[in-house]
Amino acid sequence: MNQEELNKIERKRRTIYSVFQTVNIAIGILFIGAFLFIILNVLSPDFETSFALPFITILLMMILNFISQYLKNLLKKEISKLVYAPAFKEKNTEFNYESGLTLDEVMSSKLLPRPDDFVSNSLTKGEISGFPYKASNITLWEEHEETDSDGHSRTTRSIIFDGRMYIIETPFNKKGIIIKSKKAGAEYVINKIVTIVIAIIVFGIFSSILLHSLSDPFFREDASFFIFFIIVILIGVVYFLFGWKEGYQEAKLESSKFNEYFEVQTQDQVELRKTLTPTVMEKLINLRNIIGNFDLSIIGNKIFFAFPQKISIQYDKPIQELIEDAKETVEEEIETIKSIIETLKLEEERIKKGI
Amino acid sequence: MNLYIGLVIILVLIGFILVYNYVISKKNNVDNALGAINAELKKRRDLIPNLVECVKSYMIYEKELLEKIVSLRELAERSLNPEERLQIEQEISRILYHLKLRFENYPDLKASKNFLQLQATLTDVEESIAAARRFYNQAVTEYNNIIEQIPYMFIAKMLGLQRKEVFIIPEEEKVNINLSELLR
Repeated sequence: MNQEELNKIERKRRTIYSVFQTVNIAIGILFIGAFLFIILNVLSPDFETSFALPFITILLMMILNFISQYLKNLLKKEISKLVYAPAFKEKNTEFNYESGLTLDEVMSSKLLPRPDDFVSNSLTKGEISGFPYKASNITLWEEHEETDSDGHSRTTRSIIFDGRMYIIETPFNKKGIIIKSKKAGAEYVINKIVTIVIAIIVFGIFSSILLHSLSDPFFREDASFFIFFIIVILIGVVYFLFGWKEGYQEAKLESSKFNEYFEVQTQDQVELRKTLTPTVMEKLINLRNIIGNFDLSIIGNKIFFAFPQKISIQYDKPIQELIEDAKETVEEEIETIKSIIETLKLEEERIKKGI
Repeated sequence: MNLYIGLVIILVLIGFILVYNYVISKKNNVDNALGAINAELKKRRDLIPNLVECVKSYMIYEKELLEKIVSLRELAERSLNPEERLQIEQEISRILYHLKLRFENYPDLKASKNFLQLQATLTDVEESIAAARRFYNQAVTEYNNIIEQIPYMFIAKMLGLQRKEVFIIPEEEKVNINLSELLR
């Protein structure tokens, strides 16, 4: 894309951003208006005005919100195309925005659950440290059915993963190893506390419902059936929560720091420790400290890396700045991969050569 | 009232089963890890005849060392006592270490493709042994922790489970051998 086209898109971005800001201000004004209307009605029952006003306000807010969402998506694809192409072209890799990794390729990494919806774009192919690779942006969604009090059901979507996945082909052949980042430090502590509090609340609610049910003659007649049913549900929930992949076992390693940062599953405990030597563990910990969360798996002759998205396409930043951010992010990701591959290759070569 | 007592008994029973299974799984993990070490040691013992055959024509002055390693290998194969076998394997490790140091004195040997391949395989196996030992030590640490924690210690006492010792690396193996230096 040449400079003229870039400038054209930049002008469009600025226009859309101005419109977007105006729409947001309008939504804000309408919201404050509706809020004031409610307050005035509560404080002063003599306040006379039409009750159609709040409904019109809410309708207008919904329309403006729809316009805001439409504007968000209008240029997103064009900007997204612009932002990543220069980062990969600099590295002499093939780049094709329209293509991406297939769902099967992403699933073979065993890093992510099967989604209800999947999008991939910005496919790149090249070499890292002499090993061929391909990568693309991927977004995975899951859908939930929600039923409101009127019995109407609607589908909501939540993002499972939004980021970039790299697949590197190597000459090695290893049994499956899956390494996923855990929340660490303060985030880890907060997460643990929240989990414990939720568990206590759920247990408390469940126990009180159970005890209350047991005092009900209807349930007591068939108490043994209900207790059996509850036990089966509990076992199912525990199995679901742990959710280990078939054929994989959890593994804890000697480094407590490593165990704090990463969750590891493997098909072969000895093979795992041949690969995850203290040097490699140290490298992964350092990288995690530098670049943040990432996941990696080694399945057969492929190494999979999943990096969460760090750049979000917002209209408040000039496109050139987004391009620079993307270059920096891609550089960081590729250096991380290079660093890990070289550590693993060195270990492998060392074994083969007896060094 | 009977219903509540019944419910409490069921919950205690479920708790007992979960704790029992957890202790057994940790115990079996230790046995599994020990099995992994033994499998790798067996692979190493199987390499020894090939290694001796390959080097004996070159390393004429190391005849005693080579004969010793062959006899130790046969002893390890015959031994049924795990502790005795462990002692023998440690002795084999010690002799292999000394043998590796002496490879440097035989440049003709270092030029042999057969020898280089064998050496690479031997190194690979020794790395597997080291990895298996790490697995074993981790399994033993988890097992020892479990049998000393409440409520697992009650099940452990019931089953007569005792603390196990972690694998201690012999002094020779603690020294990092830089074979590229040795083979120069």
